[in-house]
Amino acid sequence: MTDIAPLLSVEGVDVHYGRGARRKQAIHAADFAIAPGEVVGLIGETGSGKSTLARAIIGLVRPEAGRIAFHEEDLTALTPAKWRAFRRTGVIQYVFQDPLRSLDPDMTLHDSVAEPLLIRGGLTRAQITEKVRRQFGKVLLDETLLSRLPGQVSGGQRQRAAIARALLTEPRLLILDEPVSALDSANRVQILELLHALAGPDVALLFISHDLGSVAGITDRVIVLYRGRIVEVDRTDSIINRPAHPYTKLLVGSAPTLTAGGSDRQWRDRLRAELGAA
Amino acid sequence: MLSRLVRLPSFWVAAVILLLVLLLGVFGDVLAPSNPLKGSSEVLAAPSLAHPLGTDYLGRDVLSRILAGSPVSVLGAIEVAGIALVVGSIPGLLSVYLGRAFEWLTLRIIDTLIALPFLVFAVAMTALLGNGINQAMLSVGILLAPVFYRVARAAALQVSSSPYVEAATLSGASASWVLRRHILPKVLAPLGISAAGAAGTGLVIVASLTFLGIGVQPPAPTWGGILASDLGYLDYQPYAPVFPIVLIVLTVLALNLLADVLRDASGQSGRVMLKKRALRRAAKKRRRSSAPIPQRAGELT
Repeated sequence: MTDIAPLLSVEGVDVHYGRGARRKQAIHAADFAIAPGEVVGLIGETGSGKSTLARAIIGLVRPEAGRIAFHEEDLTALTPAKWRAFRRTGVIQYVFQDPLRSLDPDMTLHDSVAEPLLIRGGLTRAQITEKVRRQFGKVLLDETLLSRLPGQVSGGQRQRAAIARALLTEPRLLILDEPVSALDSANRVQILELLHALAGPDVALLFISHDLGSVAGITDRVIVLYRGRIVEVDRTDSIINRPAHPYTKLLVGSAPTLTAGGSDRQWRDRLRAELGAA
Repeated sequence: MLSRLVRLPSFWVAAVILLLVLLLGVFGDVLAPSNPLKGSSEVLAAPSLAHPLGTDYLGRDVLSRILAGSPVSVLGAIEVAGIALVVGSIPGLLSVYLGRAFEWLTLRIIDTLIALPFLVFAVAMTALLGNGINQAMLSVGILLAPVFYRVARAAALQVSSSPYVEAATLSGASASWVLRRHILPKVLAPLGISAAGAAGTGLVIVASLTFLGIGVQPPAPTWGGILASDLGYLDYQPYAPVFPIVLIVLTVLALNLLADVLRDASGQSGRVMLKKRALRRAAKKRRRSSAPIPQRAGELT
């Protein structure tokens, strides 16, 4: 981290699900910050709380304790009406895992992508269409797809459209919730290249994934989440080359390669036993 | 959806029948060749040129009574569907958005309505509000409302938790925006299907109530009332109940057909079905065009 004021700061955030006897803590005292323009990976296995933490940041889940601030504005103190007004500014945007389900099946790609601007208001239809066209160009989508329904285009094109929708409001923070896990390898590489190209000083990315390989190429830092707790935060190269926590070591060691299905099995079993004891 | 509907042959069958029934409903009174309330000495007469469907036990022209009874029967069915749609679907949609208290209250009211027996409730309502067609339709409409409540609530629940609604919410969409842009278009098709079904049910219930003398005071004609009076004279005119029954059955059939085509043509399943049909047609066309063309008579034999 640098000395620049953080764009997003998450301080001691606890999130619970359920009530009474079924009450379960999903996130334990999460603490981290993202600087403007920074690309941060949030990795962990399925069920570790990655999406819950992201949903808490965007207000879809209410934290029970802690503070989430965006540009020093305390988001946890916002009323529903103030949340709506804040969201209309479009400074934080979210890209969902499944592009097919994140676009309305009965709306054309144009209408889905244009929706944030239509909700915000203040622009004519022609101005919005022009912005959507330009955004389509930025995510390398052909303009002829504007009138297509989500079911009529490929998975990769759908995810590009979802990214175009998220970028239309010129966000300062873009949260990507496993944006490539529902895609085949060819589309995965294309989307990762696109995200790499989009990263810059104007937009910070929080890239959520269970796959270290997906985030390694584009992130500056990686946050490792294990059973709802942040166990390690470090620069991406340090995480990959010198993992400190046993779970991070397991994640790095479990990454499949073309030559072998990961590193030594006995070593992985020993790390699992170590984690179980902890 | 309309473009997909018009490509289905069963839509046109339902549309033609319902258009004819609607015309009867609107212009039935005007089309009646004679006064439907005026009796004559020709009691229980067989069909003739003067009385194409014969006369009833008071010598009244049956055709005129059927035509004059159409507005009450048809408009009554539409009224039932309309009341059920409004009373059921609006709370059904709002139950997803107006919090747990509203949800709990409406669910309990709907459970209570489901438990009430139709005819007893209709009789009680007409006893309370007076014996009129509108009172009867109101009670029937309220009793059919749970169907719409459940359909609207189920569709709204399904759509409201989908990522595209969350995406709209994350862009600052209000509940009314989400309802208008995302939920209503998805809910309209199942509600349309239920409305077509409810209109058919309403027609049968209107006929049943008027058969029992509830809702419409004799001698005013309705399809159910005509059927009731015909059943008393089966020994003399065994064919007489056929005329109102055919009209009731055809209308209910057309409404059910309309409900089916609405279901078939709506949503993703409708798109897939029509795509498959288009592919089958294209394949048939290809087969036909690739078949050898006979050059001379008898060449292929």
